[in-house]
Amino acid sequence: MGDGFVHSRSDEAENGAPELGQVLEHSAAPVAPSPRRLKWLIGVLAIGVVLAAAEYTLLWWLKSAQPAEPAGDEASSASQEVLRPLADRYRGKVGDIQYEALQLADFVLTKWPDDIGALFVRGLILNKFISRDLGVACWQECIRRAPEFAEPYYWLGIDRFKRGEYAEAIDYLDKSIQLGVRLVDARVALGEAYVCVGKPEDAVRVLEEQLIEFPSHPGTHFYLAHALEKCGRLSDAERHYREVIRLQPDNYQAWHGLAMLAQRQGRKEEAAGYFEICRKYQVAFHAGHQEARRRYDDAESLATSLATAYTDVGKLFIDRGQPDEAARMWQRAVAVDKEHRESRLLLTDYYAVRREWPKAAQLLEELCALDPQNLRHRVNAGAAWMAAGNYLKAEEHFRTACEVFPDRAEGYVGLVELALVMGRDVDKAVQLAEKVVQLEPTAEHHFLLARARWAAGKAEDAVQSARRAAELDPGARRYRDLLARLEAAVNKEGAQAGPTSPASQEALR
Amino acid sequence: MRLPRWILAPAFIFVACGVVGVAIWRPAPTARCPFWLEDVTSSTGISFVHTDGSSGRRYIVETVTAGLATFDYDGDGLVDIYFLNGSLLPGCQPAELPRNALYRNCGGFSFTEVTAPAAVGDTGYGLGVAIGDYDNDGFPDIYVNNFGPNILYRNNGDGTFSDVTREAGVDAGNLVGAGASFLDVEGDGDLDLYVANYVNFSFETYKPHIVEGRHIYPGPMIYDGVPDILYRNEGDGTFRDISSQAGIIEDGVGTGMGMICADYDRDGDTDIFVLNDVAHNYFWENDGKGHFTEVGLPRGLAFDAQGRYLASMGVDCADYDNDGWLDFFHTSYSEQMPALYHNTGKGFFEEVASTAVPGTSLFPHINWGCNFVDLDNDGWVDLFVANGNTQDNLEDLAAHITYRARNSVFRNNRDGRFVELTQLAGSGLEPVESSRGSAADDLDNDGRVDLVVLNARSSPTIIRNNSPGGNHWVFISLLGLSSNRDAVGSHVTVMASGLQQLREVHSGRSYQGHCGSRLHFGLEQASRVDRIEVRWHGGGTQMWENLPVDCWLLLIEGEKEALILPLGSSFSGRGCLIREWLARVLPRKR
Repeated sequence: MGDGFVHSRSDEAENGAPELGQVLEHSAAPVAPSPRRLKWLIGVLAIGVVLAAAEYTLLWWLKSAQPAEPAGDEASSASQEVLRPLADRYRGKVGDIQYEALQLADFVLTKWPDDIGALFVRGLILNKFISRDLGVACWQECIRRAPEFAEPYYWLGIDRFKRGEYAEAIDYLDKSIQLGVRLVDARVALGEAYVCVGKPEDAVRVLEEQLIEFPSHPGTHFYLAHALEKCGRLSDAERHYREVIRLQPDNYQAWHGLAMLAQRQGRKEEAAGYFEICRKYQVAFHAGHQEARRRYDDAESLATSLATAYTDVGKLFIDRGQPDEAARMWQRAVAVDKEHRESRLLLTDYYAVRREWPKAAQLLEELCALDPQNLRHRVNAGAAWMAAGNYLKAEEHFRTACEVFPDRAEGYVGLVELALVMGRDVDKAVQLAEKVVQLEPTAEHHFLLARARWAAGKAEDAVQSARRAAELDPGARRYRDLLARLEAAVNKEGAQAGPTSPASQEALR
Repeated sequence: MRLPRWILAPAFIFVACGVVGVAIWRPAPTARCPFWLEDVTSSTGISFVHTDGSSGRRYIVETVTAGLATFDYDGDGLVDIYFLNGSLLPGCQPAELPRNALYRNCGGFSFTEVTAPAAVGDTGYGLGVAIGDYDNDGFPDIYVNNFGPNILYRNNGDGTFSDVTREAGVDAGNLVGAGASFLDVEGDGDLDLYVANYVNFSFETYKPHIVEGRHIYPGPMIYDGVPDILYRNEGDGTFRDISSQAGIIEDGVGTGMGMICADYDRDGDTDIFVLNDVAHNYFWENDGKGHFTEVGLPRGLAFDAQGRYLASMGVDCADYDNDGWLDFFHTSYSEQMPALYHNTGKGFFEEVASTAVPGTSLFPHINWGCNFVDLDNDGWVDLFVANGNTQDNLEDLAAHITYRARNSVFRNNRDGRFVELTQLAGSGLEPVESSRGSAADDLDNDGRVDLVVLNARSSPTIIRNNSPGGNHWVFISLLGLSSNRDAVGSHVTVMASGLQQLREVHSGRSYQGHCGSRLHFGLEQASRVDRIEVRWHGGGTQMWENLPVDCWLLLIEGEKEALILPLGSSFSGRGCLIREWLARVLPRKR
């Protein structure tokens, strides 16, 4: 039998081997148990079988209870990790800018160890510079400590959305909105998530609510149109696509939506026209996108992110009543990124409050250089220089504002104010102020015209303008005061009342 | 101290059962999941390991290799596997030159490498592959789209191939290739060839791409696109570049990736759908005479539902809602949903992925290969998606964004939506790899379609479909006589128990690969096929009625009888029935 072959029973029978019954009979005889022993054996076997069954059940349960992803463990370890300084661990492993960002994140943690606002900002920094999971861990810790803190819910919602976990994203985003987050992106993302889970009606509700507050937000109109399409409300969808196009004529996605709607409704020629426009704008958009990708400079991008981090930390200081510390952060942001707008704006406000006008004006100069088409920067730069006593520079900015935006009042207002401050070209100032009123006949502009007319010695006209300002905004005390003083001056000095008279000085004071 | 025997004996049983239980533990199909997909890679004998070159310089081409093909190269009735491979790139450690690999299916999920004897071990940098019988000799040929000169392998019919690239004139220069497809553009019975190309990359213009302090692989936006090429089959073993005269470059250049050819509007000619990476997709509509117009935008195939262009990757085509019109599904980048284009039957598509396909396992990852495949034979195509990232240094960024990821599977819910079953579908969905190409074909001829996945920098995953349910099925192979031999572009409609299913014979699909030459139809509980209707490409329509199920039917153009081909691993001789049939019908070819 040791030949390695398997032999069948019939082979063995042929070879004189015992039959099966014989074997059993033969082998059983010497160990035949007594009835008591048999009971004992059966009992032991039964216990063994029960134990084995229990074991298999346990194995099965363990197998089926295995978590699908080890996310829980990772989340909790990340949660512990973010509550300890991290910079040292990354020293030499990351670039200088990232290391500085980590140091800033650790500074926030050590400065305000129990402050959830600081922990939230730390999350923003870690999310940007190290890992999304660390950011998420910070935000989860925030809401664990302060369940009514709105912003982390928004960021957690966006994170869930990016994971494709739409139901969880909805929960977080909805909560953030309930708690008062005012980011338009929160409702837009919530609307998009509702569409993804097949609830476009909820998306419509959320986005329509947003339009009450932000009626001119193109993204809200676009996603609302998309959700309305899903609801089968095609004419409403079309209305919102058209609104996007009114706000952003080159929005190729809206043109695409409009084209698909027309196509779906059998308006093929109309659709073809929209597709052509869509193609034109899409090609331009793609070219711009590609150009931006090719121009991408990582050092610049990281510097911008670092500047944003410093800006956020500066805001933490402001909220905690430490404006000088905040300014230090913003100064670092300005130094890190030569093109960072927000830090420059915040720092400008800081200097303006302290009447450090040359510093404010210098920052506004930089902002004008960055965004030459930004009217607000231009006019503010003029105002800051005027306050700093540099009238030439002020005039330069106001004139540029008028040239670039001839249909906007702000530049002309600046020139009028400048003329009034300098006390020259007042006749010209009156003309400009009249243009201002023509462009935007607001109470404030009538008030300006009143002052210009008075300065030019046109007392009755000045009273008339002041009266109009007071009529347009009866609640504004300064209009009423000016009117009263001008009327008093006219009554006192008659038609001769003018800018050089004592009454005039009093009126304009 | 001695323990009493009444304790020892149960303890022994307990321990023994535990050891045996752990050793033989094999999770069984759960009642909840109609799919049961098993990872059988380790027992297949497949030793192929993919390389992308991993130069350390992070060349863009490393991210997009490669596709694979499943097809029966030797006509033995078993589907074989051809894996593309990358190659050594500047900066690589010197090593043995990687090559593509052909594995012959020996039945029972056992494979033998036959690369050398078959002479298909191209050492170029493989990206895409298409299978088609370009010379109509009854044996499938291989076209490999490389980074560098491409290769056309002619099947000699004896288990070997010949490199005929030069005489055929299809090397396509020294470009970064992508997908490829054989198709008959003008219905003359000869398969022409569309070759998609990716970007204008060269080692000379390479610059490291640094983002947020990390040296990462670049996307296609920093390069210009490259025009695709359409080759006309001259019918004498040569091809001619007709790209310009066919109109396929008038719209500029794209960043081609996966592609598929299909007659979406059932007008009898084949149109071409080319995905572009971070750009609008091209849909080349055929005027029936081999001239094309790019109509992706008006057909609704250029963008997703919100009018955004995606980083489109792999593509497949099927009538997923059984409404009689072919639909498309294509994969895309991480944090983008794939696109599911539902054919309205009115000359345009609507993109419905956001509501039809759950995003949980797709949205965070880059998705590559994709297959419409009826995994449970219920008559409704399900969906398999291969996942993985291009960036190999993401692991510290976020737990859910990783270079390697699990693949995904979705069941057709029969209401226009898909339900994700990845977590329940068995060990075949457990491997965590950076997958690229995927192919769906029945490797063991049991009527249940299996899956093969090419994983970047790793071994492939061979997934055996062992789904329960016992539903019926039928395989259909077409043999064209006046139309091309593979009947590429032909439509097959199967009617059984009131359900009507449509398929088209494709060459080139999924992520820059090929599979499914033998059409598969799940029939659920139908015990007979009521009717099969074939609209031959470039030819007429034929019908067969009252056919058996659970078998492999060969339908020959012009033949009234459907031939039932034998199945199973026993059917492995080279003098097979198909060849006998071919010998009979070949002389009748034109």
